[in-house]
Amino acid sequence: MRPIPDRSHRTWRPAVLLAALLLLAALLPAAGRVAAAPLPTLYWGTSGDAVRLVQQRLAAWGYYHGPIDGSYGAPTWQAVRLFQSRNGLPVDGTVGPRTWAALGYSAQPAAAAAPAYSPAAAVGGLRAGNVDLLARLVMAEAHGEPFVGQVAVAAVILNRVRNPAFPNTVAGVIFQPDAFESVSNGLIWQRTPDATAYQAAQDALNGWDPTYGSLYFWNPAKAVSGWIWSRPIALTIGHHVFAH
Amino acid sequence: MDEAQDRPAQAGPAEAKGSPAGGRLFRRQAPAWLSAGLGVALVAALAWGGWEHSARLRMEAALEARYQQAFYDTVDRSGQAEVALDKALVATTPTRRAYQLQEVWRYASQAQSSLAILPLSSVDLSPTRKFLAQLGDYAHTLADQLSADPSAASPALARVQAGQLAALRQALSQWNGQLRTTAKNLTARNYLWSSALEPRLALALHLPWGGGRRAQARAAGLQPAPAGRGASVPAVDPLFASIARANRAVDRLPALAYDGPFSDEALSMAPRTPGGPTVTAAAAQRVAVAWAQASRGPAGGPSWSVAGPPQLVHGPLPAYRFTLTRGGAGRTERLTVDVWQAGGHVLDLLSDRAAGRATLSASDARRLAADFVHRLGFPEAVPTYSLVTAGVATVTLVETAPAPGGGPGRLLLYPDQLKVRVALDNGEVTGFDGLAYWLRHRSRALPAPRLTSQQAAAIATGTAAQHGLPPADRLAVEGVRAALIPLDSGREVLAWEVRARSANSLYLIYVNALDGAEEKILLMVPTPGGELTM
Repeated sequence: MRPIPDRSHRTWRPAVLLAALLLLAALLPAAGRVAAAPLPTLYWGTSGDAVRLVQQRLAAWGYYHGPIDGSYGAPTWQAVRLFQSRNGLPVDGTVGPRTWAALGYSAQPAAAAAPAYSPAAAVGGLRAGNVDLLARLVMAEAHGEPFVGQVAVAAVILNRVRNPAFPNTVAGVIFQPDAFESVSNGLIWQRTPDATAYQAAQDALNGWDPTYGSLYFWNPAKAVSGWIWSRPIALTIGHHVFAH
Repeated sequence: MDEAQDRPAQAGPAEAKGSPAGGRLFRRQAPAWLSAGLGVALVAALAWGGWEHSARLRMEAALEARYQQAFYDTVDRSGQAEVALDKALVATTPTRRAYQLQEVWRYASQAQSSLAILPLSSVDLSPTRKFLAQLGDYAHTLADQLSADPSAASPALARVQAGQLAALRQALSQWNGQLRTTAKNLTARNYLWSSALEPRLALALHLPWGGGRRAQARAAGLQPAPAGRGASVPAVDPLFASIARANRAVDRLPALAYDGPFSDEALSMAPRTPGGPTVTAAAAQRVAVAWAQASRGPAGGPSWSVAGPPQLVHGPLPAYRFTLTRGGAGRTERLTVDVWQAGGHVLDLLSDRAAGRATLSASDARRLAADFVHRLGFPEAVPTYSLVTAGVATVTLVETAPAPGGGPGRLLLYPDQLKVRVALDNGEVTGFDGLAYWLRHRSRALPAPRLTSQQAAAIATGTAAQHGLPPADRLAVEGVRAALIPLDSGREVLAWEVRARSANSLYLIYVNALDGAEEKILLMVPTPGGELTM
């Protein structure tokens, strides 16, 4: 089962292979992270995950055809020697630092390993995404309204998010078909929210709700739907009527 | 260009008079380059039109794909929810039933999300969306109870649950039947969802038959009107008649009574305290002015004056809304203060002044916020978090009470929460939110804790259970204090708040002080503006 070296292209193949290996090593930054712990020197008789790693890599590159069993026996030894001979390494059948490096694993100190996990980025992103969307909608729907009226529009969105009859994400509510004219006609993408719109979005996310739980708002100068006036009205702010 | 336009104009009348000279002139002057130019323009216009048309077709196809996916996902997820619900009824062990109920939750939530994407303007599907959301929420709550306490699956309780689940299965099965009929009809007609968005000439010209009212209602951020409730309601497309029927049936279902965030009870805005005797507008105005003047901060900026009579705020907390102003022409600042008619409590205060360059820190803001509420009727409130954005600090404060069981320290009452917004340029209070406080506040008889703070800390950090964790994720306790916390459902729980830190994060872990359940975990994330809680 062991590979028989093809000698016909001996003169140029090692160089091409080496180049391909280097390229692969560069393209596989994850490989470096897998082996962030100090890499052991492997030889005939050793076993464990590190051996499995070598077997996988050699199998993927066509040098090894035996089982990936983590046990360094004759087939692995032969594959390592073949790999070494093809790549200008001392052919000793032992996986030391240079062979590890040629296989695409570098023995970095543990401190330079993947950065420790921190949820800060995820949480910051959650909030920032909602602030941006809310500020856009406020800018498109309530620009020129009193500040309280702008907070109120953002609060209506958040009241809908908490209500089972509406989608339960900010994006779901804002992009619900036909819910907001500024989304239907694209105005929401044409205006850049100003500082006031952002402040209004922040205040609504921080809990301010000048509409006391309203789920609807409309401009009575434009809307004439009889149905909408049947909703219990909370109050009017600027040009908008807010209702439950 | 002028020349080219003038000549035919001159030639026209000449030709009309039948002048042979004029006719010859026109024929001679309609040069080859003009025809060629028009020809090129025509070809270019055709090419441009063809390009636009194909681009539009591609966009329509992309949009249609999105809608079709949403529809078929709704059919699939809704059907899966029914199957999972059926299995939940058959399951006899608490573990299996809890698992199936979690599946109901997952599928029902997904069906609800997909349904909301569809552009279905002739039927208002709010009742169905509410049904799906509450079904999932209810299943999730039951599953939680079963996992927390398998003995909750006592035969008596199980019978009640089974009855309710069977009723829900029946309703869901009817909805799914109508949904399948609709799917069959839509497929047979080759219905395209995006056709609902086709621009119509009559609509564009605001002609009476163009659905102008619907467009106007839409313009105001409304849901399209549900069937049968008003003159301007568009007729239900026969294609969607079966969906509309199922929607009406769901609307008639009795309210589900349970303990979850989407339950009708959790949604209700009814205050838990009567507030106090009704105050007159004059008395309320005195309160509003006192709060406005107190908001001016240590420097004592220009004072506020009431601008006109109050506006009435209707709803579960009827209030007077006063608008106060200050400053001269061009730079008028406005402050609104809402005073609850029951007892004259301030529910909301908001200034439209944009803060300038920050000169104060977040800790200054906490101190100023605490001063403000201490002076205005909340002497025991303490600041908990603060968040700074754009020169404004929002400080959260909670009411405290003597520790239950006579222990040391004070009990934090998280349901009784106040928010104060402080401008970091001059220390003025530019906002106050007391709505959450007045919705939840009441006098409470709290039991003494059965767990000690040490026992709670041991549960929160779970020393034995942490052996498998990477070192960076192991928790070290920084402090423990007693707290009353609201759960998502609105239920209040006496807990120990364990402040625990891993290598990278700070957590507040709430352990039930009576039975040791891990009720809630808050992640405190340091950001440049302060700590965000998740």
